[in-house]
Amino acid sequence: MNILLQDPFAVLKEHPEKLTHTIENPLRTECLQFSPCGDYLALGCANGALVIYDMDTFRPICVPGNMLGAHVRPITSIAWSPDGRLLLTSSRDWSIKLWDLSKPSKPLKEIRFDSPIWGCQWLDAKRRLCVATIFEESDAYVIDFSNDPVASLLSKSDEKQLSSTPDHGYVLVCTVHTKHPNIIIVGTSKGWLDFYKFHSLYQTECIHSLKITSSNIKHLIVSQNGERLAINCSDRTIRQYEISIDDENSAVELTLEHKYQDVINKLQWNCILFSNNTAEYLVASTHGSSAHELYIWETTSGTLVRVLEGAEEELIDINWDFYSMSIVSNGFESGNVYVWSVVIPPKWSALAPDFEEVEENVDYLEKEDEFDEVDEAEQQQGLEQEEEIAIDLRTREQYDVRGNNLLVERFTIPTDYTRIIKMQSS
Amino acid sequence: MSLPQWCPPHSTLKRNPTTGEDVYCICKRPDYGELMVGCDGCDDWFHFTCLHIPEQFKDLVFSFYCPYCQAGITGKNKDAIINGEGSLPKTLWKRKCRISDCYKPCLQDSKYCSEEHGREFVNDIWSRLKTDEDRAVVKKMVEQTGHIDKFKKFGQLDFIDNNIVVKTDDEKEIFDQIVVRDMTLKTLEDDLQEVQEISLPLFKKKLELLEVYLGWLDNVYTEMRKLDDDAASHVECGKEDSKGTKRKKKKNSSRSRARKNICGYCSTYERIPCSVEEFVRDFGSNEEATKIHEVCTKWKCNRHLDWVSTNQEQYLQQIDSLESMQERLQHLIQARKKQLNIQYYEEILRRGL
Repeated sequence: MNILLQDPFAVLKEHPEKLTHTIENPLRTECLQFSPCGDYLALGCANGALVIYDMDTFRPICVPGNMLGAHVRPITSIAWSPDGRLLLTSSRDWSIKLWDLSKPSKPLKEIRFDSPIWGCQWLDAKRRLCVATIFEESDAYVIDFSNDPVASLLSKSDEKQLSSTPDHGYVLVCTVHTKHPNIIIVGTSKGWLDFYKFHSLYQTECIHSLKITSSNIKHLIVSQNGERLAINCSDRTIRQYEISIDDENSAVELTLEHKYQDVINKLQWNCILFSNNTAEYLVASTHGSSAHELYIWETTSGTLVRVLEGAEEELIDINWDFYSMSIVSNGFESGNVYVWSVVIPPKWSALAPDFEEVEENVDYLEKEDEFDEVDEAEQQQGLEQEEEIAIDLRTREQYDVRGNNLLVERFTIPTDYTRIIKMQSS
Repeated sequence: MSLPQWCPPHSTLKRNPTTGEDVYCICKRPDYGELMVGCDGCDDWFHFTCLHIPEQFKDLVFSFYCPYCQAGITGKNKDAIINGEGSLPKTLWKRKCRISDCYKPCLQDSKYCSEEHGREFVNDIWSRLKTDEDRAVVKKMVEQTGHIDKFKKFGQLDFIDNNIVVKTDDEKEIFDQIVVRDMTLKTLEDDLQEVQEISLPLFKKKLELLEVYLGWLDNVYTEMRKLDDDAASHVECGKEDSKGTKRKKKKNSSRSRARKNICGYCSTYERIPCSVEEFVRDFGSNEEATKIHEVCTKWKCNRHLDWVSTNQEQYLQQIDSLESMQERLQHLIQARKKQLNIQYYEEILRRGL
């Protein structure tokens, strides 16, 4: 059925409403991440396994590292490359692994540190650069996976500042600006927010520092258009900033827009996430065994617009697929994955534009000219005019109804037919 | 199990009440001299004709059980069978001679009852060869093998699994073309060699070095505990000399006992940093430092928590994965070699060599 013939107000809903699927994962999901176009969902499990689910069939289709080199401790973060082919995973077993999904049986590259990894993000996937935060380290690391993996500190280069700069604590989270990819934002355990400008592996520059709270900074996200920044701290508050960086990437300006907090229960937040493009919505999961919902706020006004219900346990990680308009989250007790999406009720009036659904019977008023004969010559001329209009059937639309780009190249994980045949024969 | 159709229900009658004669078999008639067989289960006697067994089978009985014993009605262990234990007995027969009208059992390790019948059977095969050409082929087969063991192996397929023995130049050319230049087999063998000679020894070496370092660390812990005990005993001696209170003694010893081991993580544990005595001495003089000889000396280290089992599990998992891969590659290589051998022999036959 052509989706554009559906009720546009149902199709164009901007956030999911109903819990539609539950993916049972006996390995207990720790974190999850959609592929860039939403075709696959990668789950990081408590025993170090990495499982990739197909979102059309909701079945696992790939387990990277099934032959060699899987993690042995819980996976803490997953990052897809923009083309969907490379996968970056960090784990509490002190290692970060790079996976090529065309040959997923063992990792492509691997680097080990001296303590558990908090998380890692792509800095430049084409050049195999990523940025990571390590447990009890004062600075984040930039890692180059293009040859043998090399890690270098993302440190403040000014020696004078070092003596007078207050202690920022340990780095906990880091993210990369979406519009200015050489700007790295780091959050620390004492509430400091540091902006770094990345020039090369051994040359970085701290361009801005700001203390926004006294507690841990737990999450740091930037909207797709790069104009909004949201920070989740341990003081039970989510702060939303408007962020502007000048063209030379040398000055950063932050303006506090909204603070989100549960004024009644004073809940702490587990995870936060922006919606796509201009980040019209912010979604968060709550901490504590008594709260089982995801909260969605509107970012322009700061009001709560929806609470996603259906899960019966505390929810941890969140991810949002903007192509199919689905939100996924994993439960704390069972490790299952819950999927909320838009449910479009069938409307028979959408099949014929002339039809109109009515609540009660309406008396039909016959028109004056309903049975008049039409001049055949005029009718024929009208038909000929309509036939002359050229209809373009071959050009594909670039954007769907929500503004997502459909012409992005998508990587498809190859099916291992040899393995299937061997399994059947043995 | 149930009784055959021709068998009447079981009766415990042993003696004819009218005539006083002993009665036998399923027909309950006296012995008139017909051929009978004794049951190993219930010790009764049964006529061959009543059991529908041809009389020429009389020499082939190995162990006989009557229909009632085979059905579980009578027998030595029928109570066990009722309880679900044991199994129903069955009649066993000896092996019959291959001559069709001979009903004697075979000799040990033979298919015939006697040497004469064996020779008679083979002569019958020979006499059925119609042409002189067929007889010449058989004669050639017998003469070429030379020994009966080789003659027995005619027609077996073991040669496919064995390595090919190349004799002529034409065969060598075919062998090179099919087997030596096969890329799949070469790839599999290269992978197996890499796993066996590079990857697996590397991780086993790493695990071994980790164990050596852990042994060194245990010695360090032992030495440090010994020093602590000596210091505690010295303090207690001092207390006794100065006639200190009992409470202070207890507190001091409890504090000494509460001390845990240092973290002990070393990022370069592939080599032992120094000797145990040297390390303990340096630690004693530098107790506030967090690193001595690149070894983490924190008492409560959150950063390197669980580092021993994390590293060990990583190496063990890699070793397990590599051993599974090695086994899988060996199976694949064996299957591929068998395939190539078949192709080789098919090509030999096709060229008529």
